[in-house]
Amino acid sequence: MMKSGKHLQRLASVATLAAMVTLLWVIIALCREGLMHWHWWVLWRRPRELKAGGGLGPELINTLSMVALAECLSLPLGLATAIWLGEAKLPRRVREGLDGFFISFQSIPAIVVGLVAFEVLVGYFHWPLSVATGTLALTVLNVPQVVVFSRQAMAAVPDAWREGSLALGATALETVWRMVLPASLFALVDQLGLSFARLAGESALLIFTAGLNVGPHWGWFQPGETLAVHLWQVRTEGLMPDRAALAAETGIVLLAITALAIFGSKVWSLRLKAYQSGPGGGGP
Amino acid sequence: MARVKIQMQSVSVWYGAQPALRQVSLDVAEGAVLALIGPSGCGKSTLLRVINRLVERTPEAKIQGRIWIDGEDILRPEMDLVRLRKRVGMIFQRPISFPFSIFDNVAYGPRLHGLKDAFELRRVVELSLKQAALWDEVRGKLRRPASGLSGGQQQRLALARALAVNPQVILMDEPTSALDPGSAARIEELVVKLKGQYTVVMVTHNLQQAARVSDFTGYLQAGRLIELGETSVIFTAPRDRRTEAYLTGQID
Amino acid sequence: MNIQEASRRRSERVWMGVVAVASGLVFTVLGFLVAVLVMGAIGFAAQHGLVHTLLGARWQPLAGRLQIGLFIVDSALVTALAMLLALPFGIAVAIFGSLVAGAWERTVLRWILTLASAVPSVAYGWWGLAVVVPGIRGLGLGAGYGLVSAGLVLALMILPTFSVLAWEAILAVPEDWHQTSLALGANDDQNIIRLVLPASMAGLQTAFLTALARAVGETMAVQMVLGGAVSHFYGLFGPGATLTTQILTDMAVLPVGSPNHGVLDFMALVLFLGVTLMTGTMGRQVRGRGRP
Repeated sequence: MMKSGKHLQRLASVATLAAMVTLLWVIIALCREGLMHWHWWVLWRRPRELKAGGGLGPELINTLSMVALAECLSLPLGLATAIWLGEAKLPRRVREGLDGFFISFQSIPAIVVGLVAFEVLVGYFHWPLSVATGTLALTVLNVPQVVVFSRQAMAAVPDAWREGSLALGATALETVWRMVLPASLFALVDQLGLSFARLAGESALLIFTAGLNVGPHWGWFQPGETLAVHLWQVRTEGLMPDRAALAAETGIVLLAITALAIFGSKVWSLRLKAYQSGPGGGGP
Repeated sequence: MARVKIQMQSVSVWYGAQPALRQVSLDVAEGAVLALIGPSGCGKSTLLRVINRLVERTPEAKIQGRIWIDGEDILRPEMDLVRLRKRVGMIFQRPISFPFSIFDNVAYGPRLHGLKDAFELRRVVELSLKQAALWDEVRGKLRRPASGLSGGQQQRLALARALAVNPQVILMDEPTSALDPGSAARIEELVVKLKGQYTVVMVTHNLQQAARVSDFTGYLQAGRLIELGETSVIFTAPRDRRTEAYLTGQID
Repeated sequence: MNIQEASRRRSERVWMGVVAVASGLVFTVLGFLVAVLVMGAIGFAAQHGLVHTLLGARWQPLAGRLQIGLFIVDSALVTALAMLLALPFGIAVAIFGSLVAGAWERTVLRWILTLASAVPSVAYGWWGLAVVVPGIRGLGLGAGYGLVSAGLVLALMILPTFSVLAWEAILAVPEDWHQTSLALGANDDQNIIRLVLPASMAGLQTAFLTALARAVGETMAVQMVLGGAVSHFYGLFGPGATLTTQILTDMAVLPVGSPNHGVLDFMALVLFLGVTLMTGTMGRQVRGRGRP
């Protein structure tokens, strides 16, 4: 008989340490490789296919613009759907069914969305592989995520608050607009950062919608290769002599965008929450 | 007077820099029911939780002083907490049932301590449920989820679960404050029934309850044990002005 | 009813209409997406036979041999490998984070997990190429590109997601339950095995299924280290191709409108149905639990 009975906790600590070291290994290895060869000019130079010294300026602009545009499209649509699901007079079973519909769409493989976007936009409507095509594909991928996290954020607002607002004579949508949304804003902001990071890192979806090239200038129907796609292409099929360094440099820029989105939204979200719950606490 | 079961000698507890219990000394006689009363935040719950050392779960909790149960110093560092807690059962304010069946809830403790024999386990469960006066209501339904029971039934289930490990001391932290009057009365009856067989230390907000069920009553205020004596004496002729003030409703 | 109130009611109706139209658009687009997949897949299956396609292992798209059995097996193996690795570590992280760690360790752990869960899959693929593939080659276990490498990379990739969800599940076990269990004389190990894990089982299953769905659907991290062999099964350390990687590869080989393009819809539908099945059971789990 062991007296202390803390074997599992010790085992968990060791396993956690191992897991964290490996996860940090991925991040640190990428940063190390990229920083060893770091050149600031990669941020604005254009890529070169066969020669060293190319950059990733257009890819950076494509990534930021496409993700921002996709968020601008999917946020209002997703929020509206979440509000409708919450406020429309639906039978309970129907509402649960629709929620389930979005939950299963939330984990749809990106490649499946990419395939359908490719078939419809490129195959049927003959759009080129471009910024516009990629943005629409990203939007379709993101909307279910937005619906699910908005539903969760709004459901976390206590019912008593909702009733309080209704009891003051507010209508259902006025309550959502003036009370529920502001009260859940911190959760929405937090999720927005994660969603931005996820879209910026997306690649499977974009290879056959945004393409593997960049155009001479930014444009709706110009080829719209992003950083993540560029990293993949350079690392697996690149022909330039400095491809190893370039892949890692692309990875660093991508990681920086991801980290900034997450940390930024976290800080903003925590501020909102601190403001809401006040100095004494007591928020949701 | 009966043998001393629990003896405390200048026990103090801090949470960080915040004192929760200051220099409390008291004796509890074997088989007696001791009620602890006092305004909220006075340290009653801490006093209870130091007896089974559950207070150590709070980060930065610090304990000083000595406590003996049956003459054994339970605050010494090498004390086996499992053995201690097997001897000291506890009932909480909110009825707590694990998300398992009624049977598994009661069998939880005996299984922890190595009881595997199905027949023996069943016997212990039945006996404990009978002791907790729940048997008649749940017989034949032992495999149903415990969450289906009413609040009062769940509290008696919690009592059965505590009794199933055959403790000598039972700690009760406001066991009836979350229950309706009828259910509360049943728990009180049980406490009276358990008297003599078990030593009970009970925290309560309900003064009438303390008066009805306990042999001794202690009054705590700001972490200090102000007064301890026979319940009839405390309630009729308290020696300390502060106890009197509390009992007459001038402090709460 | 005064004028102000009338205008408020009107604007309520208008905005409810706007919201309904927006969600109608969302439902239409997503429904259309499913319809496109189903139509393509049915068209293909009608021509080539359902069982034949699912169970066969011959893939020569330009010669019209389109059997996806091998990809299903490879998908299942890579995913199973990843889950098998991620499960114990994820549970360990969750137990450490929720029950063992102090405030400081908890914060650091949380940040690492949040950051790692947002690291792009191509970055994990990059690490796989830089570390895992040479490592396995160095051990003399083949070229390094293969199912095991893919499983390793994938395990690491889903670990943060799984850990965070499992952590939340364990954290949902109320403090009074811990106290009750300990007060009955449970030691820490017994408390974890007999109370914490059974009591958080529903949440742990949800975490598991979410991670599983993510693993099945991942394309890039797997594609980069898998080797892309389609002719036959080369063993666990040999190269292979999963449903996701093969869709990616053959989107160029079988362009839209070419006679056998439908097989891609078929593969995508198999993936989608698989994932929906997982999250579907999950939905029931969550609903079955109800509100505390």
